Amino acid sequence: MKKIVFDNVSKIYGDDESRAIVALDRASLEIEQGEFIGIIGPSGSGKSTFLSIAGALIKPTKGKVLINGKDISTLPEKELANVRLNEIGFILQTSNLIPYLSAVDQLILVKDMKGKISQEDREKAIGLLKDFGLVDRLNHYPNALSGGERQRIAVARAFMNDPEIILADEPTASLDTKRGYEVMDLLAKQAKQHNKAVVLVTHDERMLSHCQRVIVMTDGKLIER
Amino acid sequence: MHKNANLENDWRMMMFLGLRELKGSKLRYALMLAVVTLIAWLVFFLVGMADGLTEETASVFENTPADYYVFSTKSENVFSKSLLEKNIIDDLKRIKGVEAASYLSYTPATIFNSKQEKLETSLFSIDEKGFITPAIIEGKALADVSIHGVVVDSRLKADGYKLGDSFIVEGYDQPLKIEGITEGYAYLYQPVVFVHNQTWQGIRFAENDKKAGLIDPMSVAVIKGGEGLEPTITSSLGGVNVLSKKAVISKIPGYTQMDVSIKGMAWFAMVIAGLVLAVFFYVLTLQKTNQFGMLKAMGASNIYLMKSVITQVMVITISGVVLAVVLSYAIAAMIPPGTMPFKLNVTLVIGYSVAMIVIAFLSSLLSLLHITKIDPLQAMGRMA
Repeated sequence: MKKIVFDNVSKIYGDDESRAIVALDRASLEIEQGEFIGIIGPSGSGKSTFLSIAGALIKPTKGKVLINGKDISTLPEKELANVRLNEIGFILQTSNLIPYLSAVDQLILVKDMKGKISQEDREKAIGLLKDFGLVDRLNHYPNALSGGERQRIAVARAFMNDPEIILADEPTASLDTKRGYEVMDLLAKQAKQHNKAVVLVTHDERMLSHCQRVIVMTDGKLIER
Repeated sequence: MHKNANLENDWRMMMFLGLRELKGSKLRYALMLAVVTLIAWLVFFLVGMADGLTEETASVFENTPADYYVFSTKSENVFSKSLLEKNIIDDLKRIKGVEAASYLSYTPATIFNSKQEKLETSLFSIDEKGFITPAIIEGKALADVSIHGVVVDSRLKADGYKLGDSFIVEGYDQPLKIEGITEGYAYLYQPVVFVHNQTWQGIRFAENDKKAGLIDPMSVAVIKGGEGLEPTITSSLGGVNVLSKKAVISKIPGYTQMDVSIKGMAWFAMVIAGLVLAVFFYVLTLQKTNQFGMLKAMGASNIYLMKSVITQVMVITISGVVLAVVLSYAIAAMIPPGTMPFKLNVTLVIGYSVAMIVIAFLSSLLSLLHITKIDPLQAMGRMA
């Protein structure tokens, strides 16, 4: 089943024709379940816009976007929040952990946003943290963890709600090469194990080794490599 | 059992983010809790003081079950100036709507104990068999005391008076003996001494005054009856003014001004508490803009984030108010009786507590508004 469908999608900032900025230019793309896709391109090429639309944060100006079968261009903001919560796992440049939550609670928080927390959620959080090699860090707070550990928690958190799609925005940008590889290996392994579609946006070509497809973005256009 | 477990879960769910943050930044929130507690304490202290003071000045009327007071027109509604003849009571009883009528006589009196120590009191005489007889806590009721016996308010104990003591009233040659003690009666910050009406007449009128030419005089008539009786009485009887209990109390010199100014201070303090809370949580929310944006990007709804802020505001305010109530009652219990006018009225304590909680909730609105304006897109770290 197709998890992300971009059909001739454009995002244009500004109303004035002469000064309008075309951040995404008639982009079309289909991503299947379990696919691992890399997107590279120079800064300003529209990677973030692509990710923001794929992540249901903004709506396209033109074209149709399906996220796990839902057309997000017609959904109200409240529904978009639900799509983000249930269909998408976000991994951002910096780990963006909440300073006053322990590692386990960082993951449980995602369940709490959905409504209820049960004992199973706690067990699931612990299981995920184990998978990411953090079994002895369960009750640590972010300030007591290394950058690599924090980013692994952020990746584990993206899996917590069992979303169909994982979107990673430069997840290794704040890490050194060794830690970066570690995080990428874990992400790829878990994505494969749970059959998730992953979109990895990066400008670091070395991080593309796990990608089945690589797409280059230039001036808002998507070009398959 | 099962239902309880569910409730607990709901509770926990609502508090998850908010409570964990309280735990994580203890110092910050403890300081805020201290501010709320101290201000709430100040509020209860002011309210208690206002009530204590108004009791000292008006309790004789607050605790007397009369609905109306009838003054002579020449008195300008001042108790010490009003004089009526006792037979007016029979006329009053005949008026439709009057359930009971009796009298109340007043004069300020300076008394001296055996050591010649001076004390200002408010001397009242009432119909000892009428409907406004004070309840006795020690000794005899007014109806049973001897002709020169009196019933005094328990406040006199703080000045060393006790049951069986005698004292002299300035300008009256017969010593009076304390034969009964009541409580809760003060007027114009002076404890009340209840005497027989003859004694009152003897003290009120100098011997050559011949009772101002009146037959069996008294100060005012008191009436029990339904609402809106004033015009009926004034039109049936000439030469009288009728005031409701509420009007009488509010006309006691300084009563309204004091009550309004002290309670005004309490409201000011509460508004200040609200503003401090508003600023504190607004600044915290501004500081957490990125964090909230990130949570929104992860799918948190506005309501979810709002709940976390409301939880924190409520936990701090309710804890602060509860602490302040405990402190206030502790202080009230520590004040020796008769030394300081301070009284905590449960209804007022609850009322002001609720008011503070409502104000605290309103103070969080600024933060809630900011939350709705946070754009999840900023979590991307750079705008596209």
